[in-house]
Amino acid sequence: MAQIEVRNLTKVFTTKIATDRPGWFGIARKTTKSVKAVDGITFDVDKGETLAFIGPNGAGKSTTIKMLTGILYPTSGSVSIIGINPWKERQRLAFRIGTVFGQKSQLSFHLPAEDSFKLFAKIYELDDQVFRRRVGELVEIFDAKDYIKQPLRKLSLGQRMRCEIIASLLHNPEIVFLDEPTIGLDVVAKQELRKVLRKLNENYNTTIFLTSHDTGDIDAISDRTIIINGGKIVFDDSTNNLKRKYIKTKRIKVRFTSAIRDIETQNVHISRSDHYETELEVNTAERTIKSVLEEIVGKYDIADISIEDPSLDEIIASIYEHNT
Amino acid sequence: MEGKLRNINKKWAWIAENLRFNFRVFTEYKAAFVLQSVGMILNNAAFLVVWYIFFHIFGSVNGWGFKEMLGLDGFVGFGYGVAFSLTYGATKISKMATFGLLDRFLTLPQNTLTMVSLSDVQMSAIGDLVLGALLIGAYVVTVGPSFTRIALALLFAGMVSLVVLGFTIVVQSIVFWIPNSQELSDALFEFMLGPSLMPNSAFTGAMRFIFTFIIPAIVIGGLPVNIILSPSIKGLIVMTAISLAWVYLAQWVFNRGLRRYESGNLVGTR
Amino acid sequence: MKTRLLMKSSHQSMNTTLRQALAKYTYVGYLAYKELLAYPASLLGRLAIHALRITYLGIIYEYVFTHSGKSAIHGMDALHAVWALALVQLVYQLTGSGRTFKHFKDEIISGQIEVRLNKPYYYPLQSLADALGQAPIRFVLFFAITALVLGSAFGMPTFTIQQKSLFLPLLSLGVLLFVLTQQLLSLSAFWIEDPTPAWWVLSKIAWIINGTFIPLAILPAYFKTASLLFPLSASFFLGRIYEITDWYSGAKFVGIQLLWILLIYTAIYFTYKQGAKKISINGG
Repeated sequence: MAQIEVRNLTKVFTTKIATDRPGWFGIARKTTKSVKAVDGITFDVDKGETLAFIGPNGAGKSTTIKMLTGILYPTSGSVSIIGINPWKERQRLAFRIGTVFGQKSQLSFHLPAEDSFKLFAKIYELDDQVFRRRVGELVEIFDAKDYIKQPLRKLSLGQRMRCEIIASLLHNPEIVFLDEPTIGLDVVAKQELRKVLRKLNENYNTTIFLTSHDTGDIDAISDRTIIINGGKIVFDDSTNNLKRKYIKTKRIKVRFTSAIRDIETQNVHISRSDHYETELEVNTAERTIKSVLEEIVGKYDIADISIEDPSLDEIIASIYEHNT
Repeated sequence: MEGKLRNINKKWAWIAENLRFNFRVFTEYKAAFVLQSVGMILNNAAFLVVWYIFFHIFGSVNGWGFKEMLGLDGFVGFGYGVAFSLTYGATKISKMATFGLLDRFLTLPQNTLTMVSLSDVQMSAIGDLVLGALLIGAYVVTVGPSFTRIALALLFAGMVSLVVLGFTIVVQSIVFWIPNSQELSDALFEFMLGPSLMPNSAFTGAMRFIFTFIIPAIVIGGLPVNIILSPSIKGLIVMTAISLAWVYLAQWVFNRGLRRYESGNLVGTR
Repeated sequence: MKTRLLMKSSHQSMNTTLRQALAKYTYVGYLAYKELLAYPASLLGRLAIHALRITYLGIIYEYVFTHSGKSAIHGMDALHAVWALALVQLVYQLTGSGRTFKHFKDEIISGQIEVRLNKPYYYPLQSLADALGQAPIRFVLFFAITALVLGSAFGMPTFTIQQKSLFLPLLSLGVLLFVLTQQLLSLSAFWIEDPTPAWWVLSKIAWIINGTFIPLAILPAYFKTASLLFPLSASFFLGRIYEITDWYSGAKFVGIQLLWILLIYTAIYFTYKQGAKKISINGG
């Protein structure tokens, strides 16, 4: 039995929007509109998996994660998290999952994180001994010893984020749901957080369910990627297969020894060109890299040449566009 | 049985820890805490000056004089002080629902309403609490202290806090049905607070009924003052029944509203 | 002929025509008006609170006048006492009570004021426009409710020709003065951590000498003298309209309000300049 089972999950929101015709005293008239944010999605997640659940803005990511954690109840469909229905037995499920919502803090801004941890220990009904051992372990893993005694307001965003994650892990949850955890963090803080989440999965076999706009998160943390767009799943496979399946082009960057007026080559798209440098996009289904390289090297004096795959950002963007 | 008791103990342990946690916030900002508490004491003392002048000009209002106003300001101030200093989160239900900030409480394994209420503190309300307690004491002394009166004063101080908290939760929960209604909720709270600070003896007939059983303005001030002046079983039962009713109503309204929040259909929110 | 108005912020001099400035701030006021009407349920709630407040004040004063055996105190009877209190409440409602103080203070404390310093407007005027933008519609609605509730419950008072003529000037100047006073107090946030406790104390002292709970007319004379020396009381001279017996007494009230407006605005100008300078040097 999978740890997370989602079957035909659908969520329709009914909202009121202003019409174009204003009413009395400029007060807007309103009409009702239904929006299908999640449209019959189905997937399973096994224990210990690291899953990135991604999509463009308004795709249904946050709505899905809220249904899985019991915050929202669906219009139709079913969800089972560790055998528990999240919206019917929310508090029972809460003892077994952890949640981190990117910009919404669960710690006190005024007090040290340590104080918040103690409170969470009581909220999760942890025995004192268990709590002390657990917080010691996590503080060590997250290298947070130096700042858990300082008021949260004095910490950097990266340090706060680590404290948030420690708080969500105190009760040793089987699954951790993270909604945009690296938002607002600098490059170094992001890298550290990704390393820590990986370690968490490796050391404790904790299932990681993560939503993010940052493809660096996907690359670094998740073995599997689900892409949702317009409320529907458009891709569900390993992150490696995502790259392999959708990499149909290669990028060749060429620097010439002398200025070139116009570069000539067949069946190759020139994405950028100035007199000394050119960037070529090669559709590997139409032409081999070898033939392109032979042609360029044969015709021109080359100072430098490099071959790259398109970035994960570009791959995902093309999937979004294809499915719009 | 032992296991059950231990579980109950665990359930309440977090509330005690949360209260201790909230007190730590006060001590974290010592200077601001002292300034705001003292400022609030002075703020409330101004009411007493107004009423002293008023009763000096007019004598009494249906048997009430300055002495009764001491008790009135005491109970209202104490109830407000307890409810707002330690359970200030309850006053933010409307804002939290509007901005989707209730989400984090829904993923925690304890009663959502209790968690929300305990999630914030207001330092200045300690000033209300302190002055309130002093004024209640002064009132009991002026009417003639006895074991009954002291016991009733302590009991009613707690009940008044529950009624203030319960009413706050009910009016804040309006947001689940009327979006962006934070100001309306604040205004409705004023509906209770404003009349509660007036000489309740002037309210008769329909107005007295409304301010006792629909908007508990008299319940949080005038009623305990009158019962302490003339202790009776009937008064105690009425006070207890109304207090419990507000506690249950608050929980019921909030839970109903939370179902709407969970449906995600709150207009203009999240 | 263009009129040049020199608008000086702490960081830049802006030469702008009077017309351009008026257009800018008028639009700010218009947006404030729209904001008020965007939440009709909230507005209705506040109207209901106002109706309730003037009703229970009316009940109390009608009761005490009837049962104290005094038909009038210092020439003021129950009906005029109730209306005097209601007119003081009207000034509070037109300004949203301490709304300006709270907004301005929060801008300073949060540091948000920094982003205002390099914009082509003068923030105190923008804040004033925001406060005054809602005043006309609030006047229509709250005065209508006042007249309806008090008129039906207690009766309509009579106004002399001087009182009728000075009603709107006293109200308008009172509203302007109250907003400016709040701004001046909130500017202390540039130097002290939180001026809110000071606001509580000062505004409650004002209650005693501005006729919020007891009409000034029935208080001893020294209260009336004290109210002339306190801007938070001068803002509420509308509540003393029944003391206007001739043009001179009326002109005295208006003159005092104008004098306070001039003094307070001058203080705002220099205090804001210093505060903005402090931000530029030390950060928010």
